[in-house]
Amino acid sequence: MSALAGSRAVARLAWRDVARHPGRSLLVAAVLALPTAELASATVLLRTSDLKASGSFEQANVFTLVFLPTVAAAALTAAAAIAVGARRQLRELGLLAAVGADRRHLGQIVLLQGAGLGLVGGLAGIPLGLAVTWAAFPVMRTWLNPVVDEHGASIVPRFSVIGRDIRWVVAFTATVALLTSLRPAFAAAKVPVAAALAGRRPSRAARPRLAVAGVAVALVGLVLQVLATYLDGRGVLLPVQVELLFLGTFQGIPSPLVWTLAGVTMLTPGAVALAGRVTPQRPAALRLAARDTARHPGRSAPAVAAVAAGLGVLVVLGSLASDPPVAGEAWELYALSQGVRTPPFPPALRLLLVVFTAMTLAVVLVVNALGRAEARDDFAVLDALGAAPATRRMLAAASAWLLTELGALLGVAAALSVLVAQQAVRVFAPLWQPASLPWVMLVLVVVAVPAVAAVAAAAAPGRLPHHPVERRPA
Amino acid sequence: MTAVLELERVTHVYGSGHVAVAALDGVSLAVAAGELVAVMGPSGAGKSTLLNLAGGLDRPTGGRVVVAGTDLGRLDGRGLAALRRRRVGYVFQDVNLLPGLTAAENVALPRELDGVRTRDARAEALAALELVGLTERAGAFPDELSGGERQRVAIARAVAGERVLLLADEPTGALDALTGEAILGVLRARCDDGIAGVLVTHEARYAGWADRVVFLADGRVVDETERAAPAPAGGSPGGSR
Amino acid sequence: MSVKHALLASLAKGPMHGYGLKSEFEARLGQAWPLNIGQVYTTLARLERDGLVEPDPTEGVQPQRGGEERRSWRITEAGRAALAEWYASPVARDGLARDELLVKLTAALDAGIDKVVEVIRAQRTATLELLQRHTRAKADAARRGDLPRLLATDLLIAQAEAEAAWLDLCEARTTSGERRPASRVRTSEREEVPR
Repeated sequence: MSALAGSRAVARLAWRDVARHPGRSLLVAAVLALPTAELASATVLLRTSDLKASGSFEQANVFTLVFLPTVAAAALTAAAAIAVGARRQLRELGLLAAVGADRRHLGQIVLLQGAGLGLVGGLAGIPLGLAVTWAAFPVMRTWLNPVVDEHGASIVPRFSVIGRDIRWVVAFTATVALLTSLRPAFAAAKVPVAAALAGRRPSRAARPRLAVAGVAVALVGLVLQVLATYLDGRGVLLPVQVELLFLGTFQGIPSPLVWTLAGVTMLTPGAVALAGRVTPQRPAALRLAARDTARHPGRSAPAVAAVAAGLGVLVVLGSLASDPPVAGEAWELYALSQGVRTPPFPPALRLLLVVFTAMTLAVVLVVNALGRAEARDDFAVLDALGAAPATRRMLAAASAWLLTELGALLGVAAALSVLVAQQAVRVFAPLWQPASLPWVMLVLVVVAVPAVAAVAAAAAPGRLPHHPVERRPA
Repeated sequence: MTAVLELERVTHVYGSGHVAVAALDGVSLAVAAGELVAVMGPSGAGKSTLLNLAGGLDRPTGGRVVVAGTDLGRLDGRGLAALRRRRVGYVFQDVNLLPGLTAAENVALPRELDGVRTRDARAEALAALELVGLTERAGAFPDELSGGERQRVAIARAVAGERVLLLADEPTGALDALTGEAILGVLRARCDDGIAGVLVTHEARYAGWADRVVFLADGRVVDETERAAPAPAGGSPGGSR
Repeated sequence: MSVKHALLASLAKGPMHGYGLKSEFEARLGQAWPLNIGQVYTTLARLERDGLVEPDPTEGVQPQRGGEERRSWRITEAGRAALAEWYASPVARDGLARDELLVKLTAALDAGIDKVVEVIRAQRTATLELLQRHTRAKADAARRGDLPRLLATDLLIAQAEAEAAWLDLCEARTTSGERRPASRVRTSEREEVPR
């Protein structure tokens, strides 16, 4: 039997399922539209500023600092959304296996659903990003280094879109959508049929190796950071490519941070499981929320990771904004020798701060919405037992708070470790001036952001499910 | 009379060590074409396990399962899935149909997964729906059908094409008495047409439709009725008052 | 046995003589309960004594051998009232129908649990076999459109089913102290774990 046998039926199943859950489908599509919009915007901006003149450092910096975490957050949120859908599909998958679907068919269905949604969302993001960039172009233009012609006069940057770039963006979006759907697709293919039919969820075995790997990856990031700071402080100049790839610039903060955040992401399943075990007896809402979070690692872990990514970057940005770094004499000498201006970063920095805070809150709200959809049955039981609406609000608030707080702690840990590593190296790197630690920002992130998320969730805990109306004829 | 389904001293054990539990312990059973066998017993007796093993949804830890002459132990996952697409049909108690597909699409699904062209599979599906008397509901979605109609669609799917074995797990569980009787009538008719059927039920009235009733307890066959002789022509209802 | 009410029901439709009443009764129950004509006359006599029926004068009395064969009967007002009350009152089910089985089971209990389970299983198998026969008879009656016969077999099936369900319960109650959730796997020493 050919590998494509039954693909029409598979496609039909995937499409019908997407159409029957329009809310969730739109969510996944929207989540992947955002980074695509950013990427489209970035390609325009990169084209309109002079890469040679300003040096690739700054642009790549922005790129790494802004784009990668956003993509990571989006992909993780999409993964959470898909995980929620996959759980509901468990019974259906068991049924499909019972009527003769191969494991291959099951994986294909889930893959098609997720990848299809992501592609649609991503493609929608392109016109969105281009439109926003075009509208805000007059303002953004001032942040970019102007192109200088042979007489030294500035050429005003113009908004232009290059087809080749857009194709690249499309390819990127398709890849991200596919990668996000891979894990649930594999999980679907491995579903234990008899248990799925009986409605029993397979228990997830703890994977300590993942946590160990996460710590290792994070340590790599710290080592890189130390290395970058040391070399920088000693006045050692590395080739641009090496800098970009492993160390980044701007005191090496972006790339090592990416490594530490990646490591932290791998720690999230363990963190979520741990939270389920070490909860205090009171308040009861928190205990319930922690247990619930731990029981759904497929949804919770990516959500916590997304929050960690956003807040980790936020903390680092805060350290830059509160005390714009002196780049070090070596860098300045180098910059002067190249005829490059010191990049006017701060105003854009403040904008980035706002963007990242908003994005993090959006991630939290999205994940909360997903969690509410799943909790609807529990809420119905609570309602039947006579729980007041306030109980629902408290549960929603507790869940939101827990997810955000876990993400905040992990993100702060990642960012702080990077910043502290810089401080520690100072002893050996006399030329280097460290950025100050952003204490105010830290407190805000760890205390205020989760509180805001909790309040937002309490304000909209979700409708009660009305009891399913039987539409069948008598 | 060759058996369509044969279980030879089948054992199925969960867990390991001293917490091992035998859901089935040395069960032997043979079902011939055209025969309907009912399986009864208390919960935990192993009835659902038996059905899972008969269709290859699970593998026995001991013994052999043979369907239409094929030893299931020799088939890999894909082979077992193919078996369920072509030879074996399942009917469950409530969740049977995919909500996003119409009745006809649900019935045609296994054949389509097998690579049969949509048009041909759809034709087979309509023929099967006619056997269960639901031709005019072919385009309805499951949430537009009554409980009895949904079960009939499930039966149609389980017998479409060239299926030889039908495995039903409490198909009447969610239905009232009259609808349940209609379902049993459909099952009986399919078996009379040559399909071999295994019916797990806890209601004796439905077991009464079978040619043979097998009692399971603690994973073993503890009793079995004789093959029922056909009823005498104008026979008395019997009983004592 | 409510032969008298069945006769009243027949007479409520119109006057009838003895043999007519007998054949109507038998036809209604699908020839399942043949009714002795002597029983009919005895019942009619009792009904007349209680004032629920009276001879119907229209046919006239025609003396025949045996005396009463051709007499026609009709229902009285009191008879109609009694009939209405019969329809309105639920049938009293007092006592236990299959008490022989109960006696057997309780006796077996004294002999030990194994004995009880044996008896239960044997009875249940027999009941199921009976059920199978009744089900075929029912399918037959349904095919012929024989509604009274269908109702009768439905009743038998319901009773047999009730008995089978009760036997399941008996088995569960008598063995609940002994039975483990499922049989144990034989250990490697091959010691047979008792059930």
